[in-house]
Amino acid sequence: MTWRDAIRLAARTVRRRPGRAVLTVLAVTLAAALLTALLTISTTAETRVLEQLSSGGPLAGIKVAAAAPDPGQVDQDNAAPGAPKSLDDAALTQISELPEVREVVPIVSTKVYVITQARDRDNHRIGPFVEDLVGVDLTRVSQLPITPVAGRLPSPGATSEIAVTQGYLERLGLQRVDAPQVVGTVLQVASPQVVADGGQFRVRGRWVKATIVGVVAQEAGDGQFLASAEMVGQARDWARAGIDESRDLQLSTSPYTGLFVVARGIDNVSKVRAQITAIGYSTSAPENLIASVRRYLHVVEIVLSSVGIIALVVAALGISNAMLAAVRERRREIGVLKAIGARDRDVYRVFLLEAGTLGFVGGVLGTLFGWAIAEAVGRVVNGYLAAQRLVGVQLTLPWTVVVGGIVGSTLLALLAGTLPAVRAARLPAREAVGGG
Amino acid sequence: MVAETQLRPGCAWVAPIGRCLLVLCIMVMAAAGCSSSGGSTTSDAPPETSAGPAAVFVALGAKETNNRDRDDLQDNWPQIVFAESIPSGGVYVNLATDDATVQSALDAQLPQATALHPTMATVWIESSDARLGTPAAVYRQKLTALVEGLRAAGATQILLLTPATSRTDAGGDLADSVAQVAKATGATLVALGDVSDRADDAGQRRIADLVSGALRGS
Repeated sequence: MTWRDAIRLAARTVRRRPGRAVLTVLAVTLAAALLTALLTISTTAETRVLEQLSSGGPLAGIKVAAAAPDPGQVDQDNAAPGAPKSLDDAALTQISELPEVREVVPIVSTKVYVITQARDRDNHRIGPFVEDLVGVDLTRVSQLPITPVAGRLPSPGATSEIAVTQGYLERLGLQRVDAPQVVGTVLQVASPQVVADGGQFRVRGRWVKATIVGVVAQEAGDGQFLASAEMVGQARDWARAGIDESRDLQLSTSPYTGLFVVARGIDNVSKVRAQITAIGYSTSAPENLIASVRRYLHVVEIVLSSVGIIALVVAALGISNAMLAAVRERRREIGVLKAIGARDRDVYRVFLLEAGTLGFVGGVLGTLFGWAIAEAVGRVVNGYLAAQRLVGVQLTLPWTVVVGGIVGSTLLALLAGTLPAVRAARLPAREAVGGG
Repeated sequence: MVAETQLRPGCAWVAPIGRCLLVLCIMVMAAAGCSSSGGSTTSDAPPETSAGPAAVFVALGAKETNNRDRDDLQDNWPQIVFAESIPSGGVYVNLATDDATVQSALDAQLPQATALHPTMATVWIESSDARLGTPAAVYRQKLTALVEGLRAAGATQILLLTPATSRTDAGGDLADSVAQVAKATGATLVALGDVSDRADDAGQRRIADLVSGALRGS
């Protein structure tokens, strides 16, 4: 029997029993789809986490304070700052130009008076209070340790939108689960300015009515309120226009309250911290936390790999089972083939070709289907990230997964079909024809 | 016959997989459909504020506007007006000083107001002029200049507040002068009546309600 005859025979068998062929292909498709989707999603997730950890991001960020370093705190994760020191554009440029620094995001903050219409748990009115308003460039929020808990982040450049932290909820006697209650409410926020009035000094406020658009967990700066850098800039300008730049109110005169520095890779965090310390500023970074996250990430990798291997084994068992069923089903046909002169290797070849074809078709369909699943999951994830004003993930289907999915399914089918093919090939003609 | 009976057990596991695939297809399509509606957290988030110019409210005046003799900041009438009558995004600055006269307001408060580009302003400035005996004609002239200055700075709503009577030593009636200036300049007159209750929260609320009512009507 030639290869062409074997192919014809295998194709005819597939055509004659379309139901079985389709179901076997579906089994392979399912396994390949699961594997492709799993690998695509896990590769993307891993890339995302590794990007955060290795290439820089909020987790790999270094907080720089507008203060000199305290020599006794340099190696601490949460180093207490030393004496106040102006953090200006020159310092920002100097730090940005460090070779291992990927990005520098300035942080500004100012003290504000706040009036809220909300009442505490005992229904008592909450009097005006003083708190810090933290301002950041909200177009670069993905680089900062800011996570929305409810609602959304203020729009970039908005001067009447504000986000609050859990500290504000606690001030109102609310829990984190109550966060949606404060979203949409309005605060009166005033930046103070010291002015002369009848030979005395008094404080005059520039009040802004700001809508709370979200509740966030943030570590960009110390304060219960987060807003755009523009809104905080206006408040600081107002304060500085007062007598003695409002130093009487102990407002910082530093152009930036702090910087958030993203290093090129997690391994450079310590080095960059040392360089910034040498420039003359106090730094802090969650180096111990990052080390723990890396360890847990390795565990996740092992778990994902195990799930992939289990999927492969299940697929192989499925194909093998289907082919064994085919052998049992076609005993009489095998007997006839042998009776008319087919050799063992011819029968072996027919069954292997059939298994390989089913594996190949299943692999192609499964890879396409798996990509569709991953794409759908990616859309849901990106929708959520977009709502949180975070950078979306770009799903990547590595060519190794495509080739591996198709070739792997084919090889797996050939491997799983080997035992049934051997059984079919070794089946004695008389026994096969007799149905025994 | 043998082949058919053997077919069933061999393929028994395949049929559930087919059904699983169907369910998976439906789930994938549903997920793809859901994704276009965006994240769930946006549903409870307020819409983005419009990029239009914000209302800027400046309060010019003397001790009646400054309210330094009162403790409860949020119960002062300008603060109530700001809280209740100015839309979100609005800005408010109280420029009043305790001993301000119409002349000192023209010299000190108007330039500060101009720098803020106000869209609305309240002016309540009589007590010091009444005490110092500013002639009514001079008062009217300076107050007119003040209103015109505010209008030139961009204020489209200017409210002139005046209590029931406010006579100068020279015998002029400043309340009448305020009314005349309001009529001449097109500003809105807010007659406060008796303001002897100004030091109380109730008095502040009454003044705020009058001002808010005038704002809505102007």
